[in-house]
Amino acid sequence: MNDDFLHRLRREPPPGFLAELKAKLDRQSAPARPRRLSFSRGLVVGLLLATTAFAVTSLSINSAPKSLHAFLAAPVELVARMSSSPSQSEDRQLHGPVPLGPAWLPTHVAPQPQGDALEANPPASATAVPAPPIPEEAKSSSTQPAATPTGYEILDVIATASAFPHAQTVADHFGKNFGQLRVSSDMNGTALNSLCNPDSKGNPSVAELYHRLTPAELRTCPLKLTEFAVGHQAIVLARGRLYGPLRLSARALFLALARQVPMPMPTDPTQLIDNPNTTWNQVDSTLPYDRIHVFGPELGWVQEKLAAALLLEAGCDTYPWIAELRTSDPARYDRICKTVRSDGAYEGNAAGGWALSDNLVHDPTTLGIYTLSEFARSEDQLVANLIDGVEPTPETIVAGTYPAARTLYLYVNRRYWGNSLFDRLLAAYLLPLNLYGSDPAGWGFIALDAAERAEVQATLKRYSDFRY
Amino acid sequence: MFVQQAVPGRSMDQLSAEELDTRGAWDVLYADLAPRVYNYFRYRLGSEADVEDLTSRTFEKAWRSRASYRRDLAGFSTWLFKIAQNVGVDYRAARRSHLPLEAALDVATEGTPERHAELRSDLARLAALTAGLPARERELIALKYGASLNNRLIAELTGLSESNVGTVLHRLVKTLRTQWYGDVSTLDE
Repeated sequence: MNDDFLHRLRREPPPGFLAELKAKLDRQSAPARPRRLSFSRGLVVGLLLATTAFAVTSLSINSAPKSLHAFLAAPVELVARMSSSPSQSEDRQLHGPVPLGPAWLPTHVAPQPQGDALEANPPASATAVPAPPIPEEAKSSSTQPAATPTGYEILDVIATASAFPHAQTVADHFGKNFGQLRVSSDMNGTALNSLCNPDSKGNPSVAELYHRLTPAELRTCPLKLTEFAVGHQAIVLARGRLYGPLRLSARALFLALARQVPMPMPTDPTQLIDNPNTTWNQVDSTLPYDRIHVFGPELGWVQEKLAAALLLEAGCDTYPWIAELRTSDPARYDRICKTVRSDGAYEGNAAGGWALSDNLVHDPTTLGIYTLSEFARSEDQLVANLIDGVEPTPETIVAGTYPAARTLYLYVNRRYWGNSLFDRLLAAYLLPLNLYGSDPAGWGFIALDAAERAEVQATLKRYSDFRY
Repeated sequence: MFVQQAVPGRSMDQLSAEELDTRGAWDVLYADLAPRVYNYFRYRLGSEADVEDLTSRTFEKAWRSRASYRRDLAGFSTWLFKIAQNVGVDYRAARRSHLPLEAALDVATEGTPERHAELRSDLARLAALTAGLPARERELIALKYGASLNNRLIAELTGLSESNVGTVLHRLVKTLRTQWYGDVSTLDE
């Protein structure tokens, strides 16, 4: 294979840059590698500690224990204090008194600005609530596309932030072939308003949203819109096979992983506090007494933002007062429902899903976030945890029963029926080849299956027949 | 193996995280992998802009989290390039969301003297030729020719089978070669 022309493009990096980077790395001290005890060594150490604790505690009891249970529980509590890891010791110093029960405590950091929240101001809830009227300022919002240049026709697509990479990938493919498509990102949640405003010529013809519009929302739109599903986004929360899958509820996930959670009863549950939960049994008494520790994409990365939205939103919406914020105060809703904690319970892993498998096998109470395809590659080592009793499978994702999944929808102004550009755009969206899924940016994306695609094509045909 | 063998009989790519901390091993790895990562980003982005920044980000992330690297799971280079891929994804996603709408109209500026000069840059020409390809195929080109990885490692990084990587690359190179030399003749006219 004559590929010299490709090899010739290689170039050595500037020596100054290499030296500078090397010096920078050398200056950074290596993080302490967690020591792993072998099973036999761990067993011996554990037995010694338990024996010592039992003896010391038994001797130190001044009065007779009130019950056998109290007599046995005392050494166990002492062992729990003594067996904390080095990192736990650091936390102990930070937090003063050593807690019995969860030995690890989170270190809260100052909240980060939320300007880059995954969905900045989603247009409406998935539940049936009346949508607000279209504000005047929407007509001059930053989501409005530039004026159409004369000479050729351009289709404008507006996409919500998490749907934008998918829309852009389709546009890349479409644009290289036809060159007449513009995609803009809806940064202020006015995609629906932009699409439905009939007064401006510069408004988009198509909107790609991460949720389905409610009948109430559709009623606010003076235009006739047609809806198409274009794909799904889903993630899997997995762990090693040793203890089998956890049966998590969406609310437990929210309480375990959100940066801020409602104060527990009987205090005011409408007040938020930094997430104090450290073990799974604190968020759901049926779950084991294991440390909440979840590996996922690095904090701040697009994948992490998607994972946070998929993992937290369903549980967040179980609090009615928070669910209402979706329409009344979308920015606050995003801060609560799409922001994962950064105190150590959630740990970013730069190498991504597959690189986690070994860590999860060695630490079987730790959970890892995977895409469906990443998980399939590690399925011999891992199990998928159930959320609200539902297992993540292509069937449950398509059916919409798996909470950590959602469908991307395309909304189209019907006046574009019969426009050849528009027909090509839809064809690009419905390509059986999963262009976006094979793009690393398409992390978590699942293309429509054959039945769903057939359904969309049937809708297309129905409108085409009507047209002609 | 593509990494020098500083430890006789053993590839540097198979060193444990503890061994990575030894000065000699790290120096050898860095000298081998830094140019590969650098060129991976050049090929993937099709330009020189931000390549140094992305290379730095990749090594800093890898260096900070090298304690979590497990040699029984993947070679060090596979692990490093997985990080590079994620850094690239994040970069492109962030950049896309800030592109002005007018950027999409740039396709209409072909034929200007500036555009012609830009095309004379081989890297920009490659970017222009691969721009219409799906992202997965652009990734394969960058991993194969920018990072100089073999098909087995590329398969690990992309989730494709090794034979599929070979087939897709063969088809890609054939198409690109035709366009490349055709492109040269057009420019030289």
